[in-house]
Amino acid sequence: MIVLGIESTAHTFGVGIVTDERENFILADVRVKYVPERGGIHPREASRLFAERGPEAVARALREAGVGIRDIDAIAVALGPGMGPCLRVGATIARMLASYYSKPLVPVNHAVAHIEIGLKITGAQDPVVVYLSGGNTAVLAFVKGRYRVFGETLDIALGNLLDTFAREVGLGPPYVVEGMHVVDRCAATGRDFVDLPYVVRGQDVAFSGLLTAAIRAYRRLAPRGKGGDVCLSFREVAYGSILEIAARCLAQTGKREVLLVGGVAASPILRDKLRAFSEFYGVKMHVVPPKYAVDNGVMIAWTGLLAFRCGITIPVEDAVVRQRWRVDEVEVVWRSRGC
Amino acid sequence: MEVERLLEKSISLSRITIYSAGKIMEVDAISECRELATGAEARIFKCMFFGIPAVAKIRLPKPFIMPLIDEKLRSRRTRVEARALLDALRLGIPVPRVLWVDVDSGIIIMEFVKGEILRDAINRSCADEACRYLYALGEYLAKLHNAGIVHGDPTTSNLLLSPSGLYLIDFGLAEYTSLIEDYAIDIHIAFRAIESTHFDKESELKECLVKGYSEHMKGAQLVLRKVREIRAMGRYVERRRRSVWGEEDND
Repeated sequence: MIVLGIESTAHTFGVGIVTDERENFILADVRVKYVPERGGIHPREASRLFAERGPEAVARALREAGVGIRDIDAIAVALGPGMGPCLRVGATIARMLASYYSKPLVPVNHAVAHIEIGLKITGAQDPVVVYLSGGNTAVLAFVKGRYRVFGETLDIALGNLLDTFAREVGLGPPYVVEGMHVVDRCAATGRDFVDLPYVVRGQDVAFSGLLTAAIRAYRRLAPRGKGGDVCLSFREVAYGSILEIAARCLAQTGKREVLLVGGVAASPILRDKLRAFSEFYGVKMHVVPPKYAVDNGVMIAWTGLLAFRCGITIPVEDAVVRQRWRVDEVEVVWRSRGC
Repeated sequence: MEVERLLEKSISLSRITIYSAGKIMEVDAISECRELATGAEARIFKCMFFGIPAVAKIRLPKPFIMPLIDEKLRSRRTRVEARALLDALRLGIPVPRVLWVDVDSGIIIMEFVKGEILRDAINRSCADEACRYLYALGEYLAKLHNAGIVHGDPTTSNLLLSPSGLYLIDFGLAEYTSLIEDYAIDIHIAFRAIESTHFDKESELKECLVKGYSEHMKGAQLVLRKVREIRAMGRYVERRRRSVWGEEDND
């Protein structure tokens, strides 16, 4: 079986083609990335780029895979969650392909896809999932048929927190330089701890107070050469609080593995911390390699394949985008039923 | 054993001589320690403390957090936990009695309560019983909130069903606060625990909790309204209010 998947939830228009017929399951992986000139993602600009270059990306993926559209068994598409204008481009192209070529259309939840590609590539069996990206911060675990949210951010996401801080104090964009976030780079020069609010509430974190306090502290201390201290403390508080809720999830579910997914999983600092964390709690650690931690079409295609094997499809006329499609709304039948 | 040495060092005493029931006896300060659980932030041991069954909660340093932050968090949480336990007892809530506190080492020794975690017990109980337990949790939270204390993690995993009552345990994330938002988050956490671990009888159990809370809390309605607001703030909530500026109807 061969499935083509389309990702367009935020800054990346991705087309992936995967198969379940051989070990090396990725046949094509094409990505068109929107990079803002300044500031964050402008949904209109991103969606315009996607509309301009999307069709060509699909053609390129087919060429890369060495297959024709006739060989494709199903079209998978990320219908949410994400930015409306961006999602609509991917959904439109997917609906067109499905109806014009009479292919089954498979709806995929972007967050579920991050988890599934993580499981597929790392070989993790039943982990506590720490999902960190620009727009998401959540700790999840598979319980009774769904990836249930055990804890999440009550306000802004980790990636958003780091980027906004960097932007406000003038460290970025670009936010990632040579594989390392500018906040981590700045933190490397820090030594002392600056008092910043650490907010963990039960199983949730909250970052807005930390963001405000860190920006203020940076503006006050950077002129005295102590900007690095602020970056260090800021990062430690942010990562520390997330690992704390992950620990609570481990304690509550009794699972023996932890899996880091999402764009922020590419951070080498976070990876080191997770290693220490896993040793401390005696659990096995899995981290999605950076290439598949960020948004891509392969994860959508792969999750689409898993769903399609269980017979999940959506009529073209019902395939509307859902900006707020929560991960825990999805019945993960391929794991509970094993089809 | 390593833990026993650690606790003896904290108490700075290894043995005492006591006169009890007409006899002079030598009693170890700490003995017979065995691990009960490794929690998220502490290791829990059952030990004999001067001959009394006790629970020792030890917050060990975490290698994945900057030491200065870790130390601050550990000592603060130990101090607040001990205070909250004492205050809860004063408010008439069944909680373990505190026997020993060492803020610098992150150690609390408290009375051992024999019982079953409600999360497990609830699956065997009938609807009425389950409802009574959640009602009690609502009542405990109301009493704490009235006194300006939030528990911080009021889940069914932190309720212990014992023959002498339903005990509220683990005040490790307790805080002293007068903010309605903080009380609301306590309720939100309890709701979520019900949703994620007892989702088959979700709405009934939540109703029982709300009943217990409302009947014992002044201004419970204000808190519950805040809970709805907070829940609408989660990621990608479909029913989120469209505008952050407009004051629309509360669902």
